[in-house]
Amino acid sequence: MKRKHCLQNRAAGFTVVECLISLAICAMLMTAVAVAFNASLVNFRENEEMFQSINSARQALTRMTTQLRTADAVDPNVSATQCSFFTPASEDITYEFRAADKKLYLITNGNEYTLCDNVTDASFTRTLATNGEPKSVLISLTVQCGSSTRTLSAAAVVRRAL
Amino acid sequence: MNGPRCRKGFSLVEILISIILVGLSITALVIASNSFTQANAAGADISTAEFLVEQIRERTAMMSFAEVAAMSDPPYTPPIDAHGNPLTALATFSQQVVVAYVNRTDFSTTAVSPTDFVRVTVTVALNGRPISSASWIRARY
Repeated sequence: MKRKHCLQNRAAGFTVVECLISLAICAMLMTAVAVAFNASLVNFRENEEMFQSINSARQALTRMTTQLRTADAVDPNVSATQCSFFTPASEDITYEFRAADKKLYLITNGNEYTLCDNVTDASFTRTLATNGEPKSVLISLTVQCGSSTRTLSAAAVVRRAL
Repeated sequence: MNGPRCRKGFSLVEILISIILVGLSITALVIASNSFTQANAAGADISTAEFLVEQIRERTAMMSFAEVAAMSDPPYTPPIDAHGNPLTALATFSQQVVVAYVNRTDFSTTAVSPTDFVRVTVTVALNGRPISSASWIRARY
């Protein structure tokens, strides 16, 4: 039989050279897969962080504009990183951006709450009506994650001042 | 294993199949992570567009009925904020405002002659492609 003849001629199994070559090829393939996987993991983490930041910035903006539209009295004499007003239920509410913490805070009843993280810039621009009361507030929020930044801006007209 | 083929090992076809399989899995990995980035960017773009619609809405809230009814500007590129200042940071977006008189008995139909109600429609486009649109009724008050 040919098969028997063949086995007799050559011992079954891999030679050292064959093993080394296959190991080298395997290692190269595994490295390629590992690099691709790591890149996608980094991408995923950055995306996740960006998504969280933009989402909380959006919620903060919606919250601030909604409250400002129905606000009773907006304080015209605070800095551009602050916005202070009374709600129709007479709650005293202040939104404040602190550049040192990179955070946007909600301050009410003597308590501070963090509304948004990773904020690199925030500004409140008030436009005054003829009686000196702010009639509109422009809000701009910039969030940063890794190397990418995103600016969201919104406006609220104080309906009582119209 | 009869005949002259007695050497054991992988054939060329088997190697090719395995390389194709590994290649496919890496491609799938890259496509999956890329689609996450795209979905994320699309979400951020749509929320930006929503805020741009709101800017126009607040702008019309500060205007008189006659001023709103007379709005017939070309698309705002770059988009504008509630005070009409250009938002240069969002230059890839544009806002198109269309104002039409509507019948006082049926807001869904357009009126031929001026009435006391207008429908304001804002369409926000990103790189010329509309991604968000909203409309509302403004009454004379």
